[in-house]
Amino acid sequence: MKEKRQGKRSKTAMLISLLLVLAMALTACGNSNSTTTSTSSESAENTGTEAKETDAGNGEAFKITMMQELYSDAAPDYANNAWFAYLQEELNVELSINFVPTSTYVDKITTYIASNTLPMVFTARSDVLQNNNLIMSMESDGFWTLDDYLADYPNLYEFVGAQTWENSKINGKNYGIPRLRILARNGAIIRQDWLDNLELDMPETFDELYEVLRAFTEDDPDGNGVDDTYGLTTAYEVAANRSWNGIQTLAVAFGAPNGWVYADGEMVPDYGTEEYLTALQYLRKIYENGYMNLDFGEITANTRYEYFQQGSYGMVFGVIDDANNQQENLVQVVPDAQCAVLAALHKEGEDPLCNATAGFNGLLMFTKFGSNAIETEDDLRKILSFYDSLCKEDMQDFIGYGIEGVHHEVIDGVKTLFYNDQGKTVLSVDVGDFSQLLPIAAFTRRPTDTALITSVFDAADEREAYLVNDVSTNLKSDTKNELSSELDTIMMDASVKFIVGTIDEAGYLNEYAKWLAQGGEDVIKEFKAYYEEYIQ
Amino acid sequence: MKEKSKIKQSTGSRIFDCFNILFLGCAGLLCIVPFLYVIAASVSPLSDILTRKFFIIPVHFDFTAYKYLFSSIQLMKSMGISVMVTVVGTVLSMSMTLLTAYVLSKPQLIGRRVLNALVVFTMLFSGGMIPTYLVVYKMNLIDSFLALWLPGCISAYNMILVRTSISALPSELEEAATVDGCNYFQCFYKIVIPLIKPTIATFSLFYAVGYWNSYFDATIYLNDSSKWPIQVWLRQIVLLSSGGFSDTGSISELGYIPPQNVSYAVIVFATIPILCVYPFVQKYFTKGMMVGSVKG
Repeated sequence: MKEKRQGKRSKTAMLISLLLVLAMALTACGNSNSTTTSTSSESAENTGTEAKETDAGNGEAFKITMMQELYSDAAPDYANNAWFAYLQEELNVELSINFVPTSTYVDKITTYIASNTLPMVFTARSDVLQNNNLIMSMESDGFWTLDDYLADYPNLYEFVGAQTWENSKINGKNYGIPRLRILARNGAIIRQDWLDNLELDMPETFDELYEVLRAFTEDDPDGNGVDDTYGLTTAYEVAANRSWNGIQTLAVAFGAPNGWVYADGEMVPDYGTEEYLTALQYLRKIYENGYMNLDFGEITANTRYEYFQQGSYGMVFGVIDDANNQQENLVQVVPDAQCAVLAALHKEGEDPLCNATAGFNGLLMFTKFGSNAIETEDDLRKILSFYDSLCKEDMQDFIGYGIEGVHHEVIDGVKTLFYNDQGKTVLSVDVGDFSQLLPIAAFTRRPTDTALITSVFDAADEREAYLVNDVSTNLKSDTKNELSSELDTIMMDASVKFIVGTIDEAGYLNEYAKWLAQGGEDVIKEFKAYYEEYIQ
Repeated sequence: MKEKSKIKQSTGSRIFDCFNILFLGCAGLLCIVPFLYVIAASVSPLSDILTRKFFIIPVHFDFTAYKYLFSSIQLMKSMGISVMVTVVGTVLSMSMTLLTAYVLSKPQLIGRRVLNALVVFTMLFSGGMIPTYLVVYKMNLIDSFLALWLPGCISAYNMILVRTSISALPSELEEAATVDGCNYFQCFYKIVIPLIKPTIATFSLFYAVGYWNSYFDATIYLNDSSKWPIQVWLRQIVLLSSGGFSDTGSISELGYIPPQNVSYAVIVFATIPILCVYPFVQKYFTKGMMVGSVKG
């Protein structure tokens, strides 16, 4: 006979059962959300088929699913937003955007490809474009190529520009809309206030620059009587950084090719050229005399900016659009500091030569496979006309300034943006990172630009005439893909060791011979073959 | 009245103690100094951080970083989501683990060897990211919090340890209970669980920390950014403010780079809750397990 247990219902039991019930309730909520997403992906298919029947542009809004990397610390609430509402209404589309933190973006793309659910439009930077899964899908016709359609969308075509369309081709075809970046982006930022203190002009030739760096180090430019200033700071960190960390900038200014050049039927890498060695010797002299930071071979890119922001260095190599950010941080420490963009360096009596970037950073690609794909050519044309309309002036204005009264107001004929309590513009909160998916010019001048920002844009404009392009931007080589890390490391280590003084010219040329033997020779051959097949 | 120990310590032992205390003290300091620095930096103005004006004790106080943090609804919401995911996940995981461990600890279970071997197998081999994603996708769990709780619900390692601690309980206790008329459920609930409270506390803490830190799963399985736990935003802010992204788009006002004091504030904000849990769990570690349960 069982005794009825008069046990007191312990509070823990209640708590646990309550929490489990709560868990069930929450999972029910979670489930309903998941069903909406699964139905939304189905409805994307349905709208696809419906869109085939309705006329393009008329009737219900065309639903576009998009995906992009998130570079800011907040994702825009695009469902409840005046800016997005206007955009969707004006262009008769319905957007569904998936924001992914940039650090896991490549993994997310891989999972989407594996589960066949890649959204219609997505951003693809170089690390995505080099991902094996994406390349395999590309080769099995998983993405739309735009070459045949561009003629019908003149706004879009001209907005990007013929050169950038060329630069962004993969295997000779355009797989997406390139996202524009400033071409003449590599340069250096220099302390204008130090130049003024020492009554020096902005250096333009190599001798002048050398003199300026010497003066920065030895002549006490900050006037505090202490010998605590240095000329130049830069960082090596990884081989890929050579485009902005000064080595390539100087080499190109001396006349070397920007990475690779195709001359006289031969593919020439810059490592072995005279001019590249001259640049290395120049940096070596600067290093020997103590005009630059002695730990440049060990520090990271961030550290070199930290050095510059602490006010003890006069010049830093980098991308010129970082100038504003450096200025803002520098004045926290040195209130009178003034940054400026270093003039484009040139040899005595000649034009400057600037190493260009590719002019774009990644593509907007259009999916052709999977359950969320762009199913028909009609749908693709609808999306392309969406982008085409975005390239027109009124929509570009809308992207830049938003809705009058909500995001900006017109004062004396000048559009001024509203700011919120956190110090950000209302427009940037509403639009957020969505600009990654929009066609935006490489830079837009605003009336509110400071003198420094204006000088950066001016430099970008002026230097377009002096750009040296890297021919290898869209060349493919299997050896390079396999061995790029080893090959790059050999040459960059050699360059750094030469600058630091560990090896001399003979040692450097030895390293170059090693590079050729270990795969450089094959890369040259493959680049040459690819160039002659697809580009010429 | 306390008597001083009359046993004299040999000099060698004393020296060893000295070195031990010194060494462990230094190690402890090494661990805690960066932490104190982060807390100090989160309440300092930006210029102090850039010029390294202070070491552990901030020179000036400036709460703009925290103001920014609390003015952002997204960060507060994601903190709430983190707490919810951790609490529900820990309860779910712990209850599932206990049930499994109890059953697997019974020697009279049919197929016990095979089941234990299978569990160890999952500990050693895992499907990988994409197959796991496909499984979750096919079960329609994408964009639902269940995708954070179910795939890793029972950690094989934790389960094996709990099973071992249940096996360590003397079988006389359960036999006595069975004689008094308990069935398996009552045995489990009234005998086993109260006795392994320290174990439950320990592994609950392990699960809680695991769920609290879940960041990768959230980004892979949760598409809706309003559902992300705070770790995702924490990582985003820290990477952004340290300039980890070499391309933040064109020069427009649409790219906001959080200054360094904000990133330190977020670190403190995201770490404090889990730190607060530990003192409450501490007492279970030190309580004795089966004081006087088996007589004679």
